[in-house]
Amino acid sequence: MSTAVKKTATPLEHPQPRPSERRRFTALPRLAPRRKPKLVHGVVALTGLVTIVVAQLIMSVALSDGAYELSALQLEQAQAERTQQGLQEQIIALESPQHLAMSAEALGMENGDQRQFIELSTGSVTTGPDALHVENGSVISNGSRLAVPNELVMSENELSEIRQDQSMDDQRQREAEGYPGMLLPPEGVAGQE
Amino acid sequence: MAKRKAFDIRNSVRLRTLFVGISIAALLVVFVVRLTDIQVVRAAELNQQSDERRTQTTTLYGARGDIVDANGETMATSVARWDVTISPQYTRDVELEDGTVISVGQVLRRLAEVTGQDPNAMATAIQNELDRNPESDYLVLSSGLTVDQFERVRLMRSDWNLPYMILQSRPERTYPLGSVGGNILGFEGSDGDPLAGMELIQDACLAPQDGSRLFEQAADGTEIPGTVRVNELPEDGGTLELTLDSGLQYSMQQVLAQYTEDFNARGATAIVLRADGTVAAVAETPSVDPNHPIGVDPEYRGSRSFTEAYEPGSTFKTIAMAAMIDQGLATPTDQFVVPFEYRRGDVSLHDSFRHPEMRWTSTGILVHSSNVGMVMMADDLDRQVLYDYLDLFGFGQVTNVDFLGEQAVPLNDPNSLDLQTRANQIFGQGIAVTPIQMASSYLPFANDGMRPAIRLVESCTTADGEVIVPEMPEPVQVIEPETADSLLEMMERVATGGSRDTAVIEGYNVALKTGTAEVARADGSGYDPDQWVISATGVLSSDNPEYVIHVMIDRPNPEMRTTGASPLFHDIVNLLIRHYSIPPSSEEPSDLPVEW
Repeated sequence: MSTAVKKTATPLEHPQPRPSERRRFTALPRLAPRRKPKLVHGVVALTGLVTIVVAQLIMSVALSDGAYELSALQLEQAQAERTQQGLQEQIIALESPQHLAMSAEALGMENGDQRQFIELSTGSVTTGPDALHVENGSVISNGSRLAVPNELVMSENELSEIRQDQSMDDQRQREAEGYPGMLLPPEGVAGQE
Repeated sequence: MAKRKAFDIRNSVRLRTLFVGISIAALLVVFVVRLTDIQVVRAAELNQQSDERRTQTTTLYGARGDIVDANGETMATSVARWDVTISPQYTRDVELEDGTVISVGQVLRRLAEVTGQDPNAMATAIQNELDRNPESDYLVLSSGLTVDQFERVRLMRSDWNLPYMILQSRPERTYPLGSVGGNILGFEGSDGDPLAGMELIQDACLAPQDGSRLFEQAADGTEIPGTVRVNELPEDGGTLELTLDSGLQYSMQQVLAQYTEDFNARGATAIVLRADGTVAAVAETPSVDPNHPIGVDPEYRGSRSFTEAYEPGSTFKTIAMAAMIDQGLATPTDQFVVPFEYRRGDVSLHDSFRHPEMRWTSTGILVHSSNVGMVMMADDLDRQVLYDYLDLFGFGQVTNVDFLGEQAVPLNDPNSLDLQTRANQIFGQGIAVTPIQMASSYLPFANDGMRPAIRLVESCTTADGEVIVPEMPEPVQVIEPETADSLLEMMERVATGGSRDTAVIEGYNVALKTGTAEVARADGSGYDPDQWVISATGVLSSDNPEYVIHVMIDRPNPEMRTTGASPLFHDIVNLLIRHYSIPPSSEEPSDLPVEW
């Protein structure tokens, strides 16, 4: 632009801005030349995407893996609880008063009989309870029944089997020894096993 | 101007755009239609299908509360048992991967080996079920498998890959002590419902509340994490604490069993009450073993101490005597001349043993158990007054325990009774009571004349730890403390002053009264001369009363009635002394005169 055209001097006004600045114009965005896309950006973007996807996959696998592990552990726990219960039931039977009494008697122990008291003030010994009027054992009826039945300790079925076995043993004993009037084993065909 | 080219779709941009647009729109429409179909039209049905396949509900069982005794010994607890159920419509031979065929018969035989059942019976059951309903999906083959049995069946099921068999677990009661206290504890039926005793009466305390859990499962049954939708926590039942001492009860039941056998009796009972009214033991033989309720006849599956009334006989004389002394009509040392027989108008009775006229004091009448003496003394006793006393002593009403089937045995209006019965009642015939009423009636002698209500339940402790104690009625003042003292002294002489030496324990001042009562015939035609109930009730000990003891032998061999219940009473007292280490009495024994 030629400064000659624009020059209009007005001494009373402010000094005019230079013509190049006075004209109102908007600055256009400079069209940046389209740069060639960098490989790095693409790679980063894709890597990020892949990482996210892979991470999600791994987490989901870990979660379900955890679920399977949980399931397996729960099975193990249930198994352990069952074993514990089985053992506990055995303990219950062993700790029962019937079993303790029978075991004690098998060891030859007897019910505590007389006991005595010491009077601390005088130092004298006084008698305690005397003996019972009856035999006080854990089994009655010649040992064929528990006095106080407990199915956990000795099933009634077992007891009847034991009784049968005993009577069979007695019978075999007698036959081995022989007694008058005893039936001899059959001969011939009937005697073959 | 250039000539317009011939219309060519390949070249027309607008048409290409249109075409693509239409195809996209068409595709979209297809998607939208399909989407609407799934999400809107068939939504409910598909939701339900998916839920059924994926969602699993399991019941979380709460544990039923334990029953423990006064010392914390477990008397009843729960364990897991398993049931083997099959789906009959799918029960068929299974082919394994390697080609072997597992037949149903093989499975049943193996199962029978474990459980001890009959495989043929099981096969028949399956066939019957299929006949009944060809699409049946549920049949219980075995129930109540223990842990060992369950493990074996589970292995069989997984080894042979049986799809039609399911093992279900459920809780079951077990009673570690067997028949100790079985009459009180009760038992449950095969379906897990309580049927008798404390299991039934205190079910509100013991019963648990089951919870549930809803979650989604994968195709192989694994629980998918994060999908638990509803989780109701189960609530365990509370622990019931009884006042019984199970160790004492065991010893007592053992002794009773021996006496029942020795006396060839129908049964025997021994009740021990502590002075404060708590029940230390209610021992009966035969007693049901809750582990095996069918082991005894149905009549023995309850507690006869509460449910069976009997005519008490001479143990009742103490009560009548107490009433008379409390009223001031007699004193322990009053003197009487007592004949063998008594006849007045329509009333006739006699003593249990022949004797000439005897010079007995009131104490002597009690010691020698003279029916005639008692009736003579009771001449001036207003029967209504006596009945008021009987009410105070607890007769004619159900005890505070209110056991299953407990009998109140109401008292008749005394004015409605004939004179003979009125006389008989003074010595305990013509009136019926339950053993627990008889025991409880001696509590005033152990408590300066006060009768506290008896109780079996100490407390119920909920799963949260809250202890609930039952509400008790107020104790009743039955007789004056002096009367109670007098009766204790008189009862001491029953052991020492007469012929009941078998009851005596050296060094201990035991108070008791024995009784031999005839059993009335069921048809009301009188008393059976061969049927007796021998009993004894007393207090240990008279200078330091702590326990009331009542023993009975029901219908022993008639020859044993002269032996009486003194030996049994002695033995039960003996057990008490050993069990609680009770020291001998420090006071001098009673020296009330028996004769004059």
